[in-house]
Amino acid sequence: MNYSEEDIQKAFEKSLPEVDYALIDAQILMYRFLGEVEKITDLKKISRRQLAKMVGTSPSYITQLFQGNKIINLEMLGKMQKALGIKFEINAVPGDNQTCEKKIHAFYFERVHTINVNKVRYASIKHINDLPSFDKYKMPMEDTIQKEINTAC
Amino acid sequence: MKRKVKIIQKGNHDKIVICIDDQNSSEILQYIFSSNVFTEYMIIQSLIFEQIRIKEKYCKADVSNKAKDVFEMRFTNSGRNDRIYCKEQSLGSKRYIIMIELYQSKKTENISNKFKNRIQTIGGYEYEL
Repeated sequence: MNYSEEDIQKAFEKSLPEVDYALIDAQILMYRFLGEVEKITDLKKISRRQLAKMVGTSPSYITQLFQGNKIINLEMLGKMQKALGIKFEINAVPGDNQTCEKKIHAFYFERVHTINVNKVRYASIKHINDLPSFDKYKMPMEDTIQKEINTAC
Repeated sequence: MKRKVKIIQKGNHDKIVICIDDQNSSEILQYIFSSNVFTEYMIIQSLIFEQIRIKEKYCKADVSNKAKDVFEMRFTNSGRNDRIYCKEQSLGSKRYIIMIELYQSKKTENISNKFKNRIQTIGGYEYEL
């Protein structure tokens, strides 16, 4: 089958509700730390095995972390910090619409032509009936969505 | 003749564009949208857009100089060991990541000569962007 770009977008629409956003956000947060760890270990030519030894764990646990099969805990981050002689800096900034949930809100908001507030439902969201499990987003209040969009923008 | 692409997603203020090779799009898309793979794909996509380099997820194929622009997305969840080989190309201020070929069930760390040649061929592909 030859997919058009529109087909691809529709396939994404259908698959997005099945995604576990909490897991993705947790993994990306972990990878922000591990990305820094990787930079330092590459620079200092420290192998994954050596890193495991330095933080007192097994090489397979380190591999599982980097592969995303396990989520790192703060104790392990502390050990990595100490072992590598670094300090993670934390900086909170306003969220943008790149986070998964907001992307979805924005995605569907674009497709809303009219909102029937009295009936508390979107009147014309395209494709919504094609989606297998999107109950969470089927009846959002207008002001909730507007708040999301305002925050995203 | 230059090969064609389809755009999948844009990120990082449209500076990074993930595309798919038109000829192989069907096979790759079927894989991406298969169960348990889509979430992992979304994570790799986020890493690319946030420019976080994690070797276990997305890294240079690093087989030879001929394939210097070839990268691989690594899918390892649920016991898989699959790859999607990609080529990175820049145009102006934009970075294009083109998913070209799916390689399923990689068994060993070593790459066979046959596959090394395949990766080098991918490295030589040129795209209409």
